[in-house]
Amino acid sequence: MKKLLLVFSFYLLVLSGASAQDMSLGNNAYKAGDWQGAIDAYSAILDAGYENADLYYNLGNAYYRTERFGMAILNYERALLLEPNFAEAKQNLALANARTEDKITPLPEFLLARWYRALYCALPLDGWLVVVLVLAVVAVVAAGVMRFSGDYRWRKTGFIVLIVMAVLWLVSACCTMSSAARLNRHDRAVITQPMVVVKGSPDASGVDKMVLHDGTQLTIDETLDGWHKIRLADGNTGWLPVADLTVI
Amino acid sequence: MKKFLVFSFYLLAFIGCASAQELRVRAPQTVALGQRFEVRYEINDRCKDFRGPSFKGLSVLSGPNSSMQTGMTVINGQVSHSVTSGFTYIIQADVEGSFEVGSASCTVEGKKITCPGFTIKVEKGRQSAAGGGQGGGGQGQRGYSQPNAAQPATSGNIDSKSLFARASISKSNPYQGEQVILTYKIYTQVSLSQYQIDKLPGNKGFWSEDLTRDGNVKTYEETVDGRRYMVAEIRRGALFAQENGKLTIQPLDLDVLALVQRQRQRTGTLWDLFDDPFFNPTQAVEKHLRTNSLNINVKPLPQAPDGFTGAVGSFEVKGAADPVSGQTNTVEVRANEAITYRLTVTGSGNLMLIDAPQIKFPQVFEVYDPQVSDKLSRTSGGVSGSRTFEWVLIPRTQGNYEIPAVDFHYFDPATGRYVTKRVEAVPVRVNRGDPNAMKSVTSNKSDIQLLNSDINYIQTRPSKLTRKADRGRMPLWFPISALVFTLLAGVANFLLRRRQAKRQDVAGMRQGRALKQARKRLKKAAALLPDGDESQFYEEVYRALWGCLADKYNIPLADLSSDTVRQILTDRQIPEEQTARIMETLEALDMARFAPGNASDKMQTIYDQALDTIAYLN
Repeated sequence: MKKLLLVFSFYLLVLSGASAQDMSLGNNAYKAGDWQGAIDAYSAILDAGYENADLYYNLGNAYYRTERFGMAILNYERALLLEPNFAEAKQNLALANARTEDKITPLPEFLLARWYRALYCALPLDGWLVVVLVLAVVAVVAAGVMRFSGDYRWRKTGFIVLIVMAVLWLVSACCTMSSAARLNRHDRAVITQPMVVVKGSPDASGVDKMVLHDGTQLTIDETLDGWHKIRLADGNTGWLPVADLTVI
Repeated sequence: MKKFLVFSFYLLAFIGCASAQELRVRAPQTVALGQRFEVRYEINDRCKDFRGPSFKGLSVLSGPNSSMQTGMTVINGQVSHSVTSGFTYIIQADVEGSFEVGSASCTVEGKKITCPGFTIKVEKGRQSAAGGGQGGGGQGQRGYSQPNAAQPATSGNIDSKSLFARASISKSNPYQGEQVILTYKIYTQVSLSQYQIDKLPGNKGFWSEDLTRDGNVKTYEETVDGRRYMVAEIRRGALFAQENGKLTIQPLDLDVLALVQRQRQRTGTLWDLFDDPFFNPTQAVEKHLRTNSLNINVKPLPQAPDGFTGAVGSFEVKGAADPVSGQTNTVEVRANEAITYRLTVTGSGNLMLIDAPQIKFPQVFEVYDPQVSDKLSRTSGGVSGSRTFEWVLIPRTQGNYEIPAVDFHYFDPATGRYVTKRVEAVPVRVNRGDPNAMKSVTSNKSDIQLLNSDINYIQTRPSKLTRKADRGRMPLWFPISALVFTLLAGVANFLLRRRQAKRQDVAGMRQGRALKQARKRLKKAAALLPDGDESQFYEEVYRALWGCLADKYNIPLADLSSDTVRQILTDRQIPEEQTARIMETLEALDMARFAPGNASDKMQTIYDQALDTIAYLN
């Protein structure tokens, strides 16, 4: 039995793909106050194809120190994408947002939608997968108890547990799917240029609708011919060239 | 200031008064419209408290000016003193008609002496200069300032050919907006002492700038139609036509005083002594002049290019922006600091009428309306100089921008074409603004609190880096674990089912149990065999055998009897021989149990029999 466990854990380790890179280079640069050096070190890891909520968070901090608040917001958002409950990232994001030029009053969100979003953001995707699995196991065990138990009391308990677990499993399955969808959505972006001009139509000669600055967040509704149709938190829409914003 | 005392002819109306001291008045009976004349009251005594008449309908230019003359005459040894007091008015008639001048009075030694009123007739004057008509009121420019000036008289001595005024224009068919010079000149063959412009023409349709230099009147000689004249340029202006089509420059009216050769006139009074030509060889004659009107044909400008702001003439343009950083020699500021951009137009033409060109500054600049300042010089050649437009720009965001190139269009009347002068674009570098300045003004309260906090420190906990490409993909452990668990569940389910089924099969369970139980009992009995406890031994054997039969054939305990057994054996089609043997065993067992005194070998026999039966049954 013990041997089996060892083999199993080793196999898990291999599958998780632990990399040889680490963030110590960047962390040391940051501690020394070399913000640009930290940015370079963290970015090198990203360029090599590896990522991590802490990595994005640290990179965001380095950008914040060099007063590039748009890039800081971008990286904090990326950290929160991977780990939605990252408290420090949320706090730093709020600070960076306070430093942006455009103050936009967001439209109020439907209460239930807000609650559901808070729910599925309570865990990262892997967490939800574990939850789903565990609930399924418990449900099946309860079913077995209900089916095969000799004692009438056990059967009753088994039945109740089964029902409860089934409901919970359904909810967590939905949360898992929403969490996965959120990761793959790629429809939110941040402006990282000092100033961009939003046009009313997808061409450079269109009428100027509004001027946005570094750090403003937007949602991309659709893409056409190298232009994104963007929507702000207050509902205003317009068109921006693809190069003018960075997708979270 | 030298006072000009001038004699002239005037018709005398001597209104006599009876008494020795009389207040006499000397005034003309008829005067010309616009002509200045003198009304003088005299009395041969010292008097005081002179009260003049009201000159209703006439303009009193000056007066009363009092004077006193004393004289001594010796006639035949007799010395007599004479005193004359005089009160003089200078009057001008503005309106035609007949005017009543009221009576005047003064007091001599307590006695009031009056002089009755009289009538003056004002008529339209005779022809005085070329162009006809009379001058208007006495406003306008003067050559010399003279309140007590000449005694007027229109004189036939001066004809229109010897003295006239002319207006001339540098170009009679200019373009709209083109600068043309208008000059007023007096042509004269006689000497002039002064001139005065009565009325300035209001040049409708033109913007005019005065170019006359006060004090210095240009004079030169010119021959016109074979006659030699002295020309005095009395007024010069720059005109810019604001409409196109036929425009007229109205004539200018002016009065001049010409000095002519005097003719002696005797009036028979004391004044004749002073009338000697020696003292005053000339006589001032007033003449009214009027210039010609000019017809100007203004050509409209051809189709102007986009961005034309009305400049007509010849110009150069320059653009410059401040502040310039000394190190990089480019314009460099921090966000929210001001830049001034100056566009200067230099040249000659209608500078005062040029509008600021529209410049499309980059969106990031906050632009304020341009300020205009002029540095103009007005010379005899016209209006020239420079006009500067100054914009204040405030960039709100950092970045590299440029003030775009400006195309300045002007119309050159010499070539009849538009000329475009370009001012090159100015690159501007805007650095990040001072973060302490102005940010808090636009934030709400929660933002202000946040601004004072700092960010959390970086994470230094050991953490695992995952591959970017793996993001969102199902981790391998999930399906594998699910599969493993499903297999386990299936196996468990299978096994449990089987067990359950077996449990439910009571008969089957009993059957399974039968042999086991029997064996156990026999074993016990066998253990008792050597000891010889008969009753217990038989008890066990009995239990073993009967128990085996009951379990195997599922006979309820209540029905357990020999007959039932025999019945079942028969039903089960056990061969008769075996059935008999089994019954025999059972009987022997019963007997052995209840009939004591069996030999020990009987126990063994029974044991073996029971064993055989059990073996056979299973």
